[in-house]
Amino acid sequence: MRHSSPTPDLPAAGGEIPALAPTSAAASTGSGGTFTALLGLPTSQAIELLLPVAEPAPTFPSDPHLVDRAARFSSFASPSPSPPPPPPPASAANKRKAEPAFKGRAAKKGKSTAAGGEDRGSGEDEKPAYVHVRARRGQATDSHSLAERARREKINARMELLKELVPGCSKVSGTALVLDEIINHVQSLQRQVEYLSMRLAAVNPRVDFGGIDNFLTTECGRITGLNCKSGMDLEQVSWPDMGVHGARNLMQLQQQIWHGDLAHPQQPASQWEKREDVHPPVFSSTSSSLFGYDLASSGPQQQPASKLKTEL
Amino acid sequence: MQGSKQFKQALLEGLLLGLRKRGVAASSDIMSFHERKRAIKVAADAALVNARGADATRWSRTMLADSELGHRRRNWGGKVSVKLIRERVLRRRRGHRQKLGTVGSAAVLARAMVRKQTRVLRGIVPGGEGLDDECTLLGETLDYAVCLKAQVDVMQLLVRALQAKNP
Repeated sequence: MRHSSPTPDLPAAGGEIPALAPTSAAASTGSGGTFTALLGLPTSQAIELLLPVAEPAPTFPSDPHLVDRAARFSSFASPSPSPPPPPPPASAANKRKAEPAFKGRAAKKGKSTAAGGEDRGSGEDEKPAYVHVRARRGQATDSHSLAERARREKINARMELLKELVPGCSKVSGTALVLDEIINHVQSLQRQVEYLSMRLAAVNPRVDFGGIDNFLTTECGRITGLNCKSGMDLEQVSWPDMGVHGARNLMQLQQQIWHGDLAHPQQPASQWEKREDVHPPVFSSTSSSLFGYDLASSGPQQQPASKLKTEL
Repeated sequence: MQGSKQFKQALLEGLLLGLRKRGVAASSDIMSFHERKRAIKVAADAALVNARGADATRWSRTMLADSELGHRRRNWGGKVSVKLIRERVLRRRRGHRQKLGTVGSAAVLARAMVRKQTRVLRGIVPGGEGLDDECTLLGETLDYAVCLKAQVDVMQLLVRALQAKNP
């Protein structure tokens, strides 16, 4: 006897197919099949199928005791709290930027720049370090560069003035040689002052300054001006040059006087020191003389010492 | 102004006054040659400072202080610190190393020469030891050289006048 399975009716079967169509379409799309099933669906359903369905958030138990127990007996729980993760290390490019362009300047500023670079970390992208780029010719506009240039110009100008002041130094080129010439010139002037003070000391010390006054006025009248290129009003007098003979005479004079002074420290007054006709001049503020010495009062009559002190 | 006629006249007047004030021309004083020379030198320096202006430049202030001290050497009392001795020794060693080592470039040698000459110039110009700036040092040197030239001219004039008056 044949058992025939009950065949479903067509309408029933036909009614089930459209009901199963969305699930089959979803399965086909999920398995990476064709989109032909999606094309037959309406737009709203196709969008819902294409978009990922958000999973519901897991619900944790609200009981705090359970949470504590779970945290205590969890396999992921660590005995000590973990330290915060270290900041990401700066790249080589950032490190290169952090280094100053000139080591000397960074050393002068101190260690604060290095410490600041470590603290900043990734903040260097926001504030890049100052990298000094050398300017091209004629484009140095930094205040330090301008000040240095002005200082150099001032030094060069003064060197030029000193060159013009020192005789025979205009041909010399080079700062060191010019400085050498200047040193020699100043030292020679200082030696000349020493020599002239020695000559003045060797001359009769009691000089009639009243009589010398007229001579000095005539000599000063003969002084001729010399216009220098440097703008300084230098005056020169035609003096006999102190050459080899002058130095030889100076040495002889030194030997004579020094031997005399050392041999006889308490010398009696010489013949010209014993004269009584020469008297020291008296300074008078109301005089027509150039240097303020009264020619009439430089004779035997003397003014009182108190008046002389007040006038001096 | 330093080399002008008025400056030289003021310098000469100050020099004559200084000579009289210091008793170089006094009949009562019997001074030795060295004392007279020193008095003339001090009078010339004082006249130069007064003619230039005591507070005008650094060298004039220094010369004024030296003339007030009477050209005595300042004794820096106290012991020499260990740091100074150490610095001197290190400087010597450094110098020996430089001498023994290879010869530097021309620019380095020129710079060293300039530094040495500047140090010498600081020692020559009065009050130059306190000047660190090269620009100021050159200005002081310029002023001092011009004034020194005027002083030499005035002293030569005075010597010539005295020799003509008392041959």
